[in-house]
Amino acid sequence: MDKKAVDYDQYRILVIEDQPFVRRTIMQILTQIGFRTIAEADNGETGMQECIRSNPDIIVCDIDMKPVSGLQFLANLRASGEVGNNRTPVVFLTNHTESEIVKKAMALGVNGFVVKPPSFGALKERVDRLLAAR
Amino acid sequence: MAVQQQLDAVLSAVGQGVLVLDSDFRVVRLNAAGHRLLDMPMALAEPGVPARDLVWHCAERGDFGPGDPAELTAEFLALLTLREPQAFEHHRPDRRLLTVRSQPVAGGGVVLAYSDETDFRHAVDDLHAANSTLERSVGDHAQTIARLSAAVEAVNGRVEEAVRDKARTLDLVNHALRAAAGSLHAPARALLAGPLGPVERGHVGDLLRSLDSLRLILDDLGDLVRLESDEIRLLDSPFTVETVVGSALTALGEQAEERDITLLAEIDPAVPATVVGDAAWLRHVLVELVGRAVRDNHAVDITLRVTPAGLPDGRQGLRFAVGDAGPDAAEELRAWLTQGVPPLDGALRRQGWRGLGLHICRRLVGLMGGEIGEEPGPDGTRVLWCTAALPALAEEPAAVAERPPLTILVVEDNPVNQRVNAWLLRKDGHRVAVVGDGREAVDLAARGGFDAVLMDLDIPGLDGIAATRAIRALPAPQGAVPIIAITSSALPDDIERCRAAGMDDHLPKPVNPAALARVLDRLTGPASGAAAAGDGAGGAAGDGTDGMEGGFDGGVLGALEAVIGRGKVLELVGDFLAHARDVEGQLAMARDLMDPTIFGAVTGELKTMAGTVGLTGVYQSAVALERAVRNGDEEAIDAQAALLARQMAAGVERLRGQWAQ
Repeated sequence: MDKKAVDYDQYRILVIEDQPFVRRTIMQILTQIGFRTIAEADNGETGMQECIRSNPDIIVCDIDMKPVSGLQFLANLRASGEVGNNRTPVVFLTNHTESEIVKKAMALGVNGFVVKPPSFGALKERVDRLLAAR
Repeated sequence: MAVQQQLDAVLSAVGQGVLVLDSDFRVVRLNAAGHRLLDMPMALAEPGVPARDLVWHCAERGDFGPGDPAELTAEFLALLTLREPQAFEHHRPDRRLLTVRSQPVAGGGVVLAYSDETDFRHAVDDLHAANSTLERSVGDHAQTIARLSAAVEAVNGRVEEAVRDKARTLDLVNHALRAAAGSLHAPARALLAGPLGPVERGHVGDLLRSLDSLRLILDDLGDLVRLESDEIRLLDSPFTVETVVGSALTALGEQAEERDITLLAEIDPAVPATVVGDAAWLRHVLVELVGRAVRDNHAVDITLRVTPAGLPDGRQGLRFAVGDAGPDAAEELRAWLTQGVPPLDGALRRQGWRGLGLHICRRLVGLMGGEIGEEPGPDGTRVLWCTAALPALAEEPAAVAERPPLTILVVEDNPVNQRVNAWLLRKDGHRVAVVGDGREAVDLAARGGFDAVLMDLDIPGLDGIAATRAIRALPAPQGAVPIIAITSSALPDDIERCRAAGMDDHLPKPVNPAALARVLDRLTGPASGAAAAGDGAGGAAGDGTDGMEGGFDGGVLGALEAVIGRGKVLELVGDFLAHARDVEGQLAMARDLMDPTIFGAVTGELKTMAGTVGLTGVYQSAVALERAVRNGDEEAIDAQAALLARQMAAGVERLRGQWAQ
């Protein structure tokens, strides 16, 4: 598969992560990758509001969050009529390599995983692939 | 008269009251005690007074209980006339109790003896009262005990809840710590990527190393939480002892090498090849015990000795002993065993102390029905040992018992693998020569006399591929000897190189005894020979795993059936077949997204399940796919995923044919 140079600053990206430190780290990595429009939210509920508000092109989302988890957010997003695009690609950040959670996420229509702590390379690779497939 | 005086003296002195009546029932005498006890008016106690008057007086004042005094008196006198010894009671108005014994005297007359039994009776009453008080209080106590035990139960419930809470809390804390430690990794690595002075770089390196050891401690803590909350259930599955021992030692290989330590395994020939137990947790314990010895030493040989052991409860088990543990490990284990905690200050001072490892081993070994301990070894060293209930598999999968013994050349430089492979072969009656160098292997093969060669690929001197080419260049029959590659990778490229060099088959490390026996059987059997080893589809890079006879080890389910019964095996196969339906879609999605996590979830689960049902082809293909995913080579990933899908389809067919309900 060819990898074309991606023009990151034309894409909007949303980071949903409950730990501020991790969220900031991810946003810094995304900035280094080249994103300019980065929205943030601290759980699946505020994430959904942010989705409706900013209509992102790609979403990077944690799984273990309260009150609304990443899995629930994904289910809500795919079923939502309020967002601009309910098929927006979602990448899960995860400590879990348990197949149960991975399979649940797959059934809900996840578009990829990045293992925590996310590295520059892993995050970029995932995001590149999804943007290239658009 | 002297007799009368003596009698008077006696009557005055005795404590009992004595009333003497003549034959007409008149008073002859009432002694002093009698006066006192009966409290009679002097007039009624005078000699000659009719007893009737005296008795009437008593009856009237109520000594004989309620009733008509005339009747009571008549009754009393009637009793006296019976001329037999009688006994009465007087209940005096002052609540005193008198008992009266009447004794007829020869020649008429009666002697009545009064004694005061108030105290005795009170004592008896007191006793009764005390008794009923006791009974009441016993009743009370029973109630109290019931209340107490209800309270204890309630407390117990709360304690259990608290323990569960504690486990949950610890779990939560563990999770949070892990996330926090995890979130430090990225910035630390980012720092390393930037311009840093050597000192700063060293500090960041230290930080990353500390994070790694923190993660190990958190792993241990997680294990401990699961142990404490009884969440760990041990498996009862058959496994080969050498495989687990080999895999435990391999896990420590790098650490050992850094410290110039040689790890050796010594398995007593009396140890059964296949036992039933939990291989994964046993490996965990062995890695910890041997790991302690490795961390405490430098430039020595460390031997893990496995011997049969009878357990305290009479079960069949094995004993694993690691020599050359340092005094610190021994001291720490002793502290865990005797005081329940390690000598904290000393332990914390030591570098690389993982803290909970030995404690977890102790709990695990306990779950396995065994014990853990330490004892003096040679030259002032200490030996760490543990036992575990690991009964021999009821029916060992016998495949090669009737085969004539072979002479086999093992080319392998790792001493552990040398021993394990040689032991596996000797167990089946084969003769074994072992060399650790490719050039020696070629020299020996040139002399001839071998029925097969087991060739490790990574050996010093000539590597396995070059040595194979050299052997194949020899004239027949030396050059035609069957050669089996022992590979640590199942990558198609490696397999292809093996075949291209002229090898007949390959087996992955650690060597599975049944697979080894089968391959030897096929390559050296009467109808075979090197020429017949081509096994149909062979050759193409993508088909690297078809050397495993279509990738199905029927012995696995057979052995399992001997342990858990056919019904359970059929259930298991049913589960696998149901799961297999999902795998195709999941693999397609993983290929589509090229997502390592999704691949990991699919292959991880598949490996466990395929291994359990004996689909060795699927297992190896899943391992190869994992390796490709790790290397990040998309073409190889695609090829391996396609191969895995084909292996699954073939495996499902085989299982349906042989085991489905």
